[in-house]
Amino acid sequence: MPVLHSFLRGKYRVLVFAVAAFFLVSVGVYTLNFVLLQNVERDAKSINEGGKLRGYSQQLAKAVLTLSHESAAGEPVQTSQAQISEAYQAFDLALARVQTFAAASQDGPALELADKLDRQWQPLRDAAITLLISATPQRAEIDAAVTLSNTRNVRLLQLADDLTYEQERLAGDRARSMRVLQSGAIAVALLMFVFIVVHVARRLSQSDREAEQARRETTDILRTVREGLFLIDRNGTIGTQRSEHLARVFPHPLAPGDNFLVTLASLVTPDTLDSARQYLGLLLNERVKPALLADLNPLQRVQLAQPDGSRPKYLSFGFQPVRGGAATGITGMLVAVADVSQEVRLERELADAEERARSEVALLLDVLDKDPADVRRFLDDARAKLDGLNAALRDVAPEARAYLTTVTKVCREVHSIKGEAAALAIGAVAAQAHRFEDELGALRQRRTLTGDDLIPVATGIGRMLQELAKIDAVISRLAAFAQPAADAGPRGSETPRGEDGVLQSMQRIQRLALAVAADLDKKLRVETSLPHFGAIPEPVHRLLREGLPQLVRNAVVHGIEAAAERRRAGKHEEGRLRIELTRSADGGIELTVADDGRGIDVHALRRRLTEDGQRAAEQVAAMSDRDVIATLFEPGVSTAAAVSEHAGRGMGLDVVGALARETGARLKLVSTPRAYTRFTLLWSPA
Amino acid sequence: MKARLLIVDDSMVIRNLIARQMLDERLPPIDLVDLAGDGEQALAIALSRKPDFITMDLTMPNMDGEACIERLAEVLPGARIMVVSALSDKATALRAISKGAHGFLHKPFSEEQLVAALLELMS
Repeated sequence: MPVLHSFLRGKYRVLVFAVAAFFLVSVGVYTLNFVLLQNVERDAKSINEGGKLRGYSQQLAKAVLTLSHESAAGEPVQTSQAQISEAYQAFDLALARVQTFAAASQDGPALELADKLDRQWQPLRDAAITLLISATPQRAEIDAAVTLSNTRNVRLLQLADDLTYEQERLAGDRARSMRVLQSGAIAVALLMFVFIVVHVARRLSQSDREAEQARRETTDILRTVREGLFLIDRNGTIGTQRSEHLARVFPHPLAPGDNFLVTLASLVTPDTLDSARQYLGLLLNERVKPALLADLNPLQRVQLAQPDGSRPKYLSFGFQPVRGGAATGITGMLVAVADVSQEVRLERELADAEERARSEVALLLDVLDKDPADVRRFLDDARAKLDGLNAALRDVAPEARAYLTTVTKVCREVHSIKGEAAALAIGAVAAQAHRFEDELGALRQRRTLTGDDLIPVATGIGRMLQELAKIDAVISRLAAFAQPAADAGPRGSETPRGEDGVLQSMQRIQRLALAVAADLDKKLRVETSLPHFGAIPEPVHRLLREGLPQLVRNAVVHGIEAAAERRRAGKHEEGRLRIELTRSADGGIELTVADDGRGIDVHALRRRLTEDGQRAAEQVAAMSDRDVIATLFEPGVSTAAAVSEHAGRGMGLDVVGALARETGARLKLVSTPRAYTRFTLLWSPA
Repeated sequence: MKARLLIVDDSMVIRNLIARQMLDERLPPIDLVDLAGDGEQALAIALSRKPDFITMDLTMPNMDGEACIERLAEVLPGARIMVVSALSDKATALRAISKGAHGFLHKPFSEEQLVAALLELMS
């Protein structure tokens, strides 16, 4: 039924009606023919019966005459009587049929002629029957019958002729009607046939044109579209039609009949393939809402497996369900493939550029408000230290102890660089150094190191050098902008600083101390004392640059308590940090860093030494307080509970101790628990 | 007839957060809210209380969310399940939907996102 319905509503509607009309006309013509042929048959029989009437009338007349002669000659008449009987009965029957046919044909003239025949026939019939009553009829009866036969027979013959003529005329009329009807029907049928042929031919021609146009448009679309398009059925089998661009996008030829997922298997990871299989299955599932799957296409951007060394290729696959109709549901998928490698590369380049810009802007902001000479000196010193570390790594003796010593040295120098960077507020370098310290700390936890363990150390030093190079680049650009100003004096002067330089150093240190205190949520007041004493020797300046930040950070982190703790201890909420640089009467120089914090907790320090495994418990118990405090200047000893960017690695005082040795200073440490800690560095007169 | 909801998450904070959100007047009325801390608990509660809607965490002790969804799809096929998970990769979401989930909400989510996801689940 749906097929017939679609036929009646579709483009074949006219054709169906034309064929139905042709069929109806044919049936009508056949029916009419059938009826007319029945009439013709009846007419033929009627004509035949008319002819018989003539014969029977003559047969009766002849028998009557024969009987008359036989009776006159005294011969037996039985044969003649039998002939008379046969003739009159046959006439009766023929006349009755003629009357029936005329009545059936409703032929008025024929009916009238039949009545006349009947009226002429009845007297002769009666006379003939009289001759049959007796075996030897009377002469008078015979003569009367002969007379009647002679007169009526001629009239009967005349009427029978008239009747036959009338019947022939009627049959002729009918035959003409039939010819006209048949000719008309054939003409109508021909017209319909011509109509059907013309209509079908036109329809076929139009369909051909439309199909050709559709094929041409489809070909144009598939040739022009900038996406790889193809169809797959519900089983993932690839269809025959595809866009030309597909061959340029897809790395393998896709043959009709191949399975899409099998082809994909060699291009993506097994996990991606599994996800793709699940995704396609869900897309074909009518019960799963398409919106639910909108962002879950695992092939939306997929990196293809490529031969080693070639540029990575990224494809984007889109899937659109294809519906065959309301009854059939989803029959397959239209797959659209695009090469998005260029977009991915551009996005990554853009992200890298943004990251570089962010990093450079951060560096720019870091160095803008610094004394160029300080920054330059820092860069040169840091680079020299890192180069020295690289050399140490190259020359390290191949034994675990030497490896550990080298890593410890790297730790110390990196910590020193971090301190200086923090003092100069060059956050990027400080953060990089802090991350590197994390890695080095993990190495130092291991007591047995191998040569391979030094590889990440070398890599870390490389990253530090890169970070320094970035600052160099930023400074170079700034210098290019400010060329005239730069001409006014040499950049990065190495000459010893005067009082102004020391003042700036102190201001930086003050800012560092306040920044660390703010980070740790502590309240702090920094006092500096810097009497006028002229130029400062380079060794002292080096300690101010590299060692003082460590001392100050140690004081703020370990010494100064949080406000609540200070209140409980009966102290002012605001901690006090005092930095003094003085010249003694004999020309020596003294640097003091003192805080009114919790002092050094010797008991905690003993516990830490044991817990960290740096000393045996018995050894620690045997040490005096002074010796225990002296361990603070060894690498890896700290009283901080956790490592932060500011302190806790136990490297700060190690750096200070090493600097004191290198610059010829005496280092003194005085501390009272819960009261204060004071570091003093003394340089004898030159 | 009002609906029943089962909230499955090993974090009490998330369970309470979703349960509290059910008072939002934009959502259809819920007459019963059950809470479960892992997949096994969820299955037991689901069998006795027959919830209409379920929010399901994926990473949980005892029975994880994926296994729970698979079992719920067998024993309680009429329930509509929404995954609420911090696992944000597509493969996880596709596996969950394949096993019978009807929605997916990534943690962390805003109040608006939660209401929109619940509305979608209950529509």
